[in-house]
Amino acid sequence: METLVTTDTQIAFARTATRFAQDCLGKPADWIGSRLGDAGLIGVFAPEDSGGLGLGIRDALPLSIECARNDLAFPLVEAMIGAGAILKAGIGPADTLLNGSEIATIAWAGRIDAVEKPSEWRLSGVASHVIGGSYADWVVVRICGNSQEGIALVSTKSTGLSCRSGNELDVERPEMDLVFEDFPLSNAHILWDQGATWDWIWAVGKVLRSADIYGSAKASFDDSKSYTSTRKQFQRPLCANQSVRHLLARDYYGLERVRYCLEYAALSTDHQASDARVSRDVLCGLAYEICIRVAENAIQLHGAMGFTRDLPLHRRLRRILAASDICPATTARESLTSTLLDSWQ
Amino acid sequence: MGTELHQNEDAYRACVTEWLQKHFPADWRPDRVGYQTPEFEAQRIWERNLYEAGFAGFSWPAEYGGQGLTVREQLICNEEFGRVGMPDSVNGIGKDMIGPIILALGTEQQKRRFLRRILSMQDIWCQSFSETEAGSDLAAVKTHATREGNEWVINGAKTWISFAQHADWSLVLVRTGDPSERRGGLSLFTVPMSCPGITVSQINQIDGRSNFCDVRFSNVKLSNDMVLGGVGEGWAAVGRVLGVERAINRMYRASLFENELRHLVAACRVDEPLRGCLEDTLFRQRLAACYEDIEVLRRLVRSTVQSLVRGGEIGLVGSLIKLHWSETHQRIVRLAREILARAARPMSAIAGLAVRRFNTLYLRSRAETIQGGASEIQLDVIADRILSLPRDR
Repeated sequence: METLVTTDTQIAFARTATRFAQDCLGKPADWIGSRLGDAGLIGVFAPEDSGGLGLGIRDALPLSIECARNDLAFPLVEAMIGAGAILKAGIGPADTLLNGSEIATIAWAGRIDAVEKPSEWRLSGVASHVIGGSYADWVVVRICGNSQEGIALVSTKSTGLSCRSGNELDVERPEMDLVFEDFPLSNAHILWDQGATWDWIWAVGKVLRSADIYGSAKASFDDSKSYTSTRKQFQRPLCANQSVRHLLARDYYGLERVRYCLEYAALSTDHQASDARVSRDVLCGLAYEICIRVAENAIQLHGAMGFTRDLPLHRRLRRILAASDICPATTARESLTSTLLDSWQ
Repeated sequence: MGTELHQNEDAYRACVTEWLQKHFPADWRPDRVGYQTPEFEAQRIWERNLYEAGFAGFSWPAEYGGQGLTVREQLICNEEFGRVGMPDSVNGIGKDMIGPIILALGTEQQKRRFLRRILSMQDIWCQSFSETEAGSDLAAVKTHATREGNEWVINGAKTWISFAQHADWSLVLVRTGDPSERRGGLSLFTVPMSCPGITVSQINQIDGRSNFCDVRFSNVKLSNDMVLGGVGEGWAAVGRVLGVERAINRMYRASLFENELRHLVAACRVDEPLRGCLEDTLFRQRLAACYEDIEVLRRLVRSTVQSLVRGGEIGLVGSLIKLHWSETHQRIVRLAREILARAARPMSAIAGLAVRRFNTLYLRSRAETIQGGASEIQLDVIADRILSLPRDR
């Protein structure tokens, strides 16, 4: 039976995350990156002997949630996972990534074909959903070639790499697509491991992206709760209406469902439990559906003000939608059903 | 069963599973052809056997007939009960709700008198709380008890009382103070159902059963030692009962709902038109969503149990759990009915069994968002007590 007890490390992490996120309000990505590096937070997953913290997903949850709650304009999830993968694989600069002077992100979709040439590889294809790609220094992409699968680390400053604007929903962290056309890359930046590192990136990403959207939805919910408690119509608070009370109660109930699944998906993935994959699909199916609804409801409950750019509600909805485009609830549910039907033979 | 087994959860679970494989009647498995609805007396005997095997009264002290274990073993056992589709206990109210309240609030004499007999199925209990004007608004209870010398005399009428037709005892919520006191003037009594002045009449339910009842109390006389938890202390005790009812009674629900979902899939696999449903995108999405709900229920219950084992209290999470399991079950059985409606005619034995099971469950599940505090009440609890949303000007 799982234990959902929060450890001292996680409590300390959550406090640090809250303070950190509040300090970073309104700051640009490079400033946030260097502060994250100073606090040692980018190296959550990086091995201790490489200068990282060597912690698990459970430890990183509060950090992801708090940074999203504070609308941090930084690809934190990608930076943490990217640094962890790069340092474990030994394919990139350890010091600059850990101290935050350089930022790594991830291309969540697209698979790049790699063809071996003397002393280098040539990459072709499109890598998409590169969150924060416009200010990242490095991008981790999934590659395949010669019946192998692996990851490559690509500098965004490389000549010959074409960067195009991708999904523009997320205002603070616009996505980019990277177009590779016979792009040369040295062996030093490539790891062939039959997809093991990419599988780890994807698994951790599912959990932490869900934590990120949970944080955004929670912030919108908190705003709704506060607004409807103080805004008066017909001489009483909006939330005195049962329809509003029950809508908020249902949103809270929804977010709690996500939180419980988030905790368990993190725990089961950390422990490589037999139901880890199912727990991640369950999480994504629920989180994307519920968090979108909560963010939409927040706009509805704020009335006309909710439809303006004066409030951060639209930015959170955009952030959630952009994340859900990477792994929609429908995709998670299709995967879950396939797993269940296979195991219920 | 030796306590050394409980040090290892997997070993304990294996032990329960093995026992069930040997002893659980094959024709009581609702997902197997040949299923027969268990009769009341057969179930009473079965549950006595369960107790004698060590599978009841898990966290109750051994001196009162319990196993002296924890709610964690209770959860493991319940998960395995659900996995085989074990029927609801005919004394679940006694074992899951009233027993724990007697343990918490009862006198030593009451504990010795009642607890072992609940576990051994010698006494079946019901819970007489609701009235026609006091269902969700329980503080509006009108049934009253007045003191006459050394006795209490109860008069009034309760309704929607599950298993009252079988009950030997009832825990009755009555007004002992002024109605204006609302919650402050309520008390709980342990009442033998054989008392002169008690009449029970069964109510016909939409699912074809009649196991909830009207119970009328007409000058029912009780001695003072039948008060549970002190005169005027009934509301706090009711809160405990409902907290348990909403959160951790019938902890097998997640496993049982999974058993239902698996039954649905198994029925689809042996029926040509139904097999197509397993390939249908819409049904696959809804199947996954139902499983997500089951997983959430598992997480909610397990974490509540963990908290209890560490000395925590159920608290308000009970409202989330109640809201969740009742609506989850309705979604599952609604999906099952929609799929099974496409079964080939004439129906195979397997499809027919599934259709009968889910038709029954569908109708029964309509009560689940009403009983034990309607969904609307749970939403009010969340809004009022968790979110502290103001109602005033």
